[in-house]
Amino acid sequence: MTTLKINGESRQVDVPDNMPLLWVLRDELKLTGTKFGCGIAQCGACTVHIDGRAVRSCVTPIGAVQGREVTTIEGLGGDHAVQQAWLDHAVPQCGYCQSGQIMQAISLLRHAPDPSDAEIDRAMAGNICRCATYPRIREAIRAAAKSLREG
Amino acid sequence: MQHWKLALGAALGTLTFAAVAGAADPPASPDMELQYGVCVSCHGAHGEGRPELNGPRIGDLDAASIEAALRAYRADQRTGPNTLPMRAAVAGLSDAQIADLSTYVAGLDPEQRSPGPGVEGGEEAYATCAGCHGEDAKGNPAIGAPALLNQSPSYLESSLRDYRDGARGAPGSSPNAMTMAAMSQALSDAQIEQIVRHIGSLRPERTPPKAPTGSATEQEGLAAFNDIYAVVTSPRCMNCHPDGDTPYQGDDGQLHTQGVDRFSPNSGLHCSTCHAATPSGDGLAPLPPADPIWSLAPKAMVFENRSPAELCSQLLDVETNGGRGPVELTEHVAGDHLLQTSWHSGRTPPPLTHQELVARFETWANAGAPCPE
Repeated sequence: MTTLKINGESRQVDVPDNMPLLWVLRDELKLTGTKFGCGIAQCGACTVHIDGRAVRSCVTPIGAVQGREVTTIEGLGGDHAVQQAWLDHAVPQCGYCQSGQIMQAISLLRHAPDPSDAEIDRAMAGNICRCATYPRIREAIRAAAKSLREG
Repeated sequence: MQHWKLALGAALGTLTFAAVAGAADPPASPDMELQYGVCVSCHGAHGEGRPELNGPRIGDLDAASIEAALRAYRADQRTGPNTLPMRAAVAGLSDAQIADLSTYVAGLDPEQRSPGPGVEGGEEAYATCAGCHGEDAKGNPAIGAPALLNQSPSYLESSLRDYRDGARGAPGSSPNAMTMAAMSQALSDAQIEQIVRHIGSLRPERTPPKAPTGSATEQEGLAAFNDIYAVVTSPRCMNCHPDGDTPYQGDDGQLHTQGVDRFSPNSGLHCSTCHAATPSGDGLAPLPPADPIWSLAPKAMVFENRSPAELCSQLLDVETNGGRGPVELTEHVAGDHLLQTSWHSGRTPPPLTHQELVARFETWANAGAPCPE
């Protein structure tokens, strides 16, 4: 039995230690906001936070997460400044990669509250969007950064 | 498997209390002493408080008051600027653990020790750290406090500065990191230096650099260095010691995909964002497993575009190699954990086994570490 802290709640799952966190989130806990894209940490769609740091959940064995704080897109509550900016700028097209994009963007803004364009590109380079919404992602990150800075 | 277990131990941290103590435990059980170890840094070993760290005297309080306070911190009902360490410290505690801890603290006698004379010299400055990292700086794995004893002074110093200045341990980080940030908040540059020097002084006296035994000829030494050079410039080493800002991948020096570079971690994209410490599933992930502290080697440790002569003198430069002579370099190569991951990446291994590399270093050191022309 593995005990996890997901979005502030303690949850127990009975799965093998090497099961990827993404499987546990989607299949065991029915938290389906986090998406399966490639399964090999090449696309970023499955990004979640572990202890506040962006991690690809598809390659993270559940055994390494025991007792640590996992935050998924559901844990943002829907009214996070980055989510609001995403709405304001109508960022998603098909939407599939966007929960990963948002989680990575939040990780960026924790490190760099006022990121340059180069910093945005660097941080987001591992998150791929097949609809190529990249210009709107950049705009939304800039807007979210401003809104977070101004409280 | 060991890597992620280590990482897990560190991540569980100060604040995840391994032992679950029953409510009937006597107040001074070893478990409670261990748990209170987290609190000592700010509140003192006898609850006498540490005013210089805003740590109030708690040993005089009754158990019910302490319990109420701990519960309020856990529920984020106390949110002032100084509450971060407390909220982090109690985040993982159960009701029963809070009750036990409260009983333990209420049983302390602050008069047993008066508050220290303030942070003056190294020992006093380090006292804050000793609560978790031990007076001998050997760390306490049970609470996720790493050993500091043999860590390089420059790393210790930059870590403390990063914690103090908010580059590490920001809200939302792991509880351990947030605790470090809180502990470092009040440190001056001078105090950081004192702490680092104090940790250095705890190390058993070394006799550097150890004299070569002369048991190998210069010719044997040069031949051994040739082999060392072949390992160091192989893809397993050079991919992360490049002469630029971008790591390589594979065996043919391709630039790492996804645009990552030396500065990516500053933007929240770490090696460990994609490289898990252990493979998951049925080997689905083809990425080499990463040590959690993976990063690009600093500029002083570039292996690429160095002739054998240049690389030899670079390895021997005590200014950048951690003050190591040839014998200490050999010990480092034999024992360093991060270095050994190069043989466990699931990729083409370096041209020598780790054991063979250590043997070459021994021969080279015994010959007086000769460098090729």
